[in-house]
Amino acid sequence: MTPHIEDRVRESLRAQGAAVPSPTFDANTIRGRSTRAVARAPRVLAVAAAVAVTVGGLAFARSGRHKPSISTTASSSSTAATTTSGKTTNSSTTTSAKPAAATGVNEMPRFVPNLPASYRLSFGMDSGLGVVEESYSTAYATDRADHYVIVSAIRAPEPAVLKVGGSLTRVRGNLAQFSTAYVGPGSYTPLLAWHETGLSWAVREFIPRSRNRDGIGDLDPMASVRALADKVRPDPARQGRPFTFDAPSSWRVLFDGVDPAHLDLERALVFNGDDLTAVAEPQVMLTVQAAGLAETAIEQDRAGAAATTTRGHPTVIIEGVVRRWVERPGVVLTLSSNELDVATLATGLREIDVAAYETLTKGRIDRVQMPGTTPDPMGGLAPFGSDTATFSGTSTDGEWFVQWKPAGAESCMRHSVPFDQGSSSCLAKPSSDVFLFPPNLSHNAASVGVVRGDVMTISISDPLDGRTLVQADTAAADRSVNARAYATKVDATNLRAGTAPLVIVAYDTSGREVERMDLFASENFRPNLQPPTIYDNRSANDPHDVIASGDIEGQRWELRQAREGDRCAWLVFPVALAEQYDASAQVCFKTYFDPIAPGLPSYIVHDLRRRFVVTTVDSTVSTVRATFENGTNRTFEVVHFTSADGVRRHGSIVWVPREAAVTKLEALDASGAAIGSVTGRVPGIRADTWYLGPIGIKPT
Amino acid sequence: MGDVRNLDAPSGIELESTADSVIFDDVFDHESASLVRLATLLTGSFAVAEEVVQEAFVGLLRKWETVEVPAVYLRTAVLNGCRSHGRRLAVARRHAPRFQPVVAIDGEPDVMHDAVARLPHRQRAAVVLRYWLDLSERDIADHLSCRPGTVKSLLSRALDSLREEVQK
Repeated sequence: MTPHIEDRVRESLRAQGAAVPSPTFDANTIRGRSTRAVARAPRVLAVAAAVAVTVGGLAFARSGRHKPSISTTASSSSTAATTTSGKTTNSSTTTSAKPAAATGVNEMPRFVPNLPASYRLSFGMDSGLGVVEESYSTAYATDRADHYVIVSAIRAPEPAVLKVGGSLTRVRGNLAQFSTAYVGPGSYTPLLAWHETGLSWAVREFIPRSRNRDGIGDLDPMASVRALADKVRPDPARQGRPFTFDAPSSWRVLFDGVDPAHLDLERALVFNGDDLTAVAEPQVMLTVQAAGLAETAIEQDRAGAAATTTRGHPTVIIEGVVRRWVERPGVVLTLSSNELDVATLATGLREIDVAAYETLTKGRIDRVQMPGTTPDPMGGLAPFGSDTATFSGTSTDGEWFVQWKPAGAESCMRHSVPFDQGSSSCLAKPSSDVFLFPPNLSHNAASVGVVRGDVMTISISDPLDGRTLVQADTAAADRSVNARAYATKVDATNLRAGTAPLVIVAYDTSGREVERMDLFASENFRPNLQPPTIYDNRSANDPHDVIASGDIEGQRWELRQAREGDRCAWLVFPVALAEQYDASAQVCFKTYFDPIAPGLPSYIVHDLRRRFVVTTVDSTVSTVRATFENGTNRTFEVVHFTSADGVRRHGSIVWVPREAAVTKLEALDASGAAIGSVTGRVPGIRADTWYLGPIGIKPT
Repeated sequence: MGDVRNLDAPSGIELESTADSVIFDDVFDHESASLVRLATLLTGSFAVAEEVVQEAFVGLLRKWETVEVPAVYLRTAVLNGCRSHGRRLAVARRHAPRFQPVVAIDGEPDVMHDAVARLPHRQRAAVVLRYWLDLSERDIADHLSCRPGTVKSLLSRALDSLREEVQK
């Protein structure tokens, strides 16, 4: 043991410890929280007057040390007394040993809680099933003023009505966080939230995944969300499925229970790297503000994008795996029930792109459903709108699919074909029925997709000189899937010779241009926000040849040679990081560092661990200057390398510490002159995810 | 406990007197922040740390009458809580992606921090207690319910691992 290592440990711990913020709770929180751990003073939150959802009873311990016991049950009378008195905290419990008769959530009365702002609530749980698995989740609620009071209600499948449970665990600012509980598979947990004004309440339905599934029952309690204005309309047949609700006018969007404005993305984003198999179920809960929702729905309706309505109220589904958070007003894409259900919601919010389609859909989407077709509630389409469609099929290259979001929405297309393993492209113009994929150059082929039958020809041209690089006839495309969905693949050999194709034009049968996509045009450009493929199924005994390597600030990096069968070159950075997880955990650069534009950083990879990487291919780039959102900037030296096999696999790499969100990147030459730059939020810097994509820097 | 119970602890959590309540508050004020830091270092998560520390305080409150040295009780409870979290996390990790978001406390990489985080719980606990709280090996042994010799062994192995990690 050397003093050196001890000193380093001390230094590290002190640095880390000093960075820990102060606790957000106080002694009163402890006292309040302790209430639920002690079963000797059961209290009742009388929630449901005529409700069979019983309230009160014995509190339960989140830790699981205390088994939930058969609770006393709040009678209707006591409930009524409570709700009218507003003295929930100290309301007493009747002593019925059994829960009331099973009833549905829709039997809950309109609740006028007038609950006190005090959080000293203790809720019991009762089991009508005899077996209550202790699993807990955390529920949040808040309002802009203060003091939501939350109760979780747990209801088992018919006929049993289980419990209403939940207790405050902490109060953080205006965020009240409660613990909730639920029982086993098939049950669901409406989470009731009362505003202290008593004006609104809400139910979030938890559709718990199986508790016994690998023992991780308490990790992902939330699979769907409900928000109700005045009452719940449960439908047992829809249990576990998306369903609709009437959004109350007073609601706003919460992201995982947290106002996006206060969202700590680092913590709240449940991002799972690139291994979506681990997120085969929704993990992030969204609740949506009714006001914004209504606007959106109306807009969608006007656009003919069919957000269905129920009794005049917008109908929305909000659930899914949130993969990407883009700080830009836009749309919320959601998945429900792990299917390709997509809804466009809540303009005015920052965009939440739920893009778990790759793994989640691979091998699952085997049918075509067109807009306007009757959606399958559990199928591949959003059950409440016709504005989303998924096309899939088999081309000569294997399966592929297209996800389409048409007019009125943030139009996106996604495709997945073997040669590119599914790229995510949001390059289409929202107003058009023609959607073009940006060519993917990974395997000497480019995929171009359209979803309009009159598009016959696709041309890809060099934006700098206008030279047509590729022209393909969609007549040769795979039309077998659907009369309106086409995809074609073009030979991209010519596209690899230098400048990447940046203008794609679609022509109809008469030769008229019907759509043009200019990757440089700012109004069209959407970064190809696509997590790189991280291959983790390769063992350390299957190494790839190292093309180039080096050390940057003490971090060893390697670029490894792609081989036949690979779809990309490999970049390992740093080596220690890769080895930490798996010797083969590598980041895939799909396009072999082909330049997006001469002299410009072409790719950016966000390093989960505090850095991101910018690669460039122009040897004249000497440094990269990053401007952070706090106004500061730093310049970083570019390390150039040339691959062993010569010309094409050359590139450069620069490491930029993630001090803050980067708002501008500039490529500078040796004299310090800017060669190229990109401004605006550089994608992938803030979110804890791997983002890889062309930055699209314009020459200056 | 009149005041406290009426205001803050309507449940069965009762302190014998207002004086007890004051003492509890003092203990909380004195210990909470450092415990959260400790738990954060052990779990790597501030939110988890807060949970763990809250649980520890709840436990203290519950056992207020019998706990002689609240600080020791709390520290041990936090260590146990972190260990329990680690166990749950182990299950979670089997189903989680390889690359989990890591909150960067600063902009620079801290290889040592990462290496400490990868230590087994007991080794990590020993390291944090030793080099963060500067506890003696005997005190660490008390907290970890082991012999001082075991602590030496834990620290030695931990430092060996750390040395190896940072020298990579």
